[in-house]
Amino acid sequence: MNLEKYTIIKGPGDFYYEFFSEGPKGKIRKIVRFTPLTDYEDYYYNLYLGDWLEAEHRASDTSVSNNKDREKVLATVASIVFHFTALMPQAIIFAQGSTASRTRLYQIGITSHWSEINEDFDLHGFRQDKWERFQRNNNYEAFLLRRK
Amino acid sequence: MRNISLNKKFNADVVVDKNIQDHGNDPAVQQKAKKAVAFLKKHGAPKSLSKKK
Repeated sequence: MNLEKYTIIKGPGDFYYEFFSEGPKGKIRKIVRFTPLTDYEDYYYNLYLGDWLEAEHRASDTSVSNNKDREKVLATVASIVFHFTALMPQAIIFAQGSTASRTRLYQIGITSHWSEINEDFDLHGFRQDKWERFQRNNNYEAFLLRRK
Repeated sequence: MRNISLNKKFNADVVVDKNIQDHGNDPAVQQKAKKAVAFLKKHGAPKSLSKKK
């Protein structure tokens, strides 16, 4: 089964992607940025997912777009993660939503496609003050993943 | 564009735009990265993920 996804626009560097969410609220520019966490000797990157607010000329990961395309947005972000880690297989990606409910959305997306994700990634979740291998029935505060 | 293979389910059309502006220096993006560093400093990371050859 192929998931519905938006066309991904990639910047000239390896770290920056965009796509346009389309729905009842119109066309919303989504940005995805992998920021290297330079404090670490390993290849840690933070995953940023947000809207680009053109009028304010700034990014926001707290704005509520409510464009009724959650599944398609999550599938597109997952595709971007697959793409980025194909280019940078050593990358360790840290992902945490801007709020607990957004982190929960990440979890829903991961759980929905767990068999494919588990095929290609080592995925850990943080709960009860420790990291553990991701398990579908647990709720996590943050995620770390790396290509197998 | 480098030729890369993706998991079939997550294959997507990827268009490279050399003129696109990378907003990696946006304060919100930088702030999120700082939070990630703080989280990892506080809680560490699984050793099994580190320095994989």
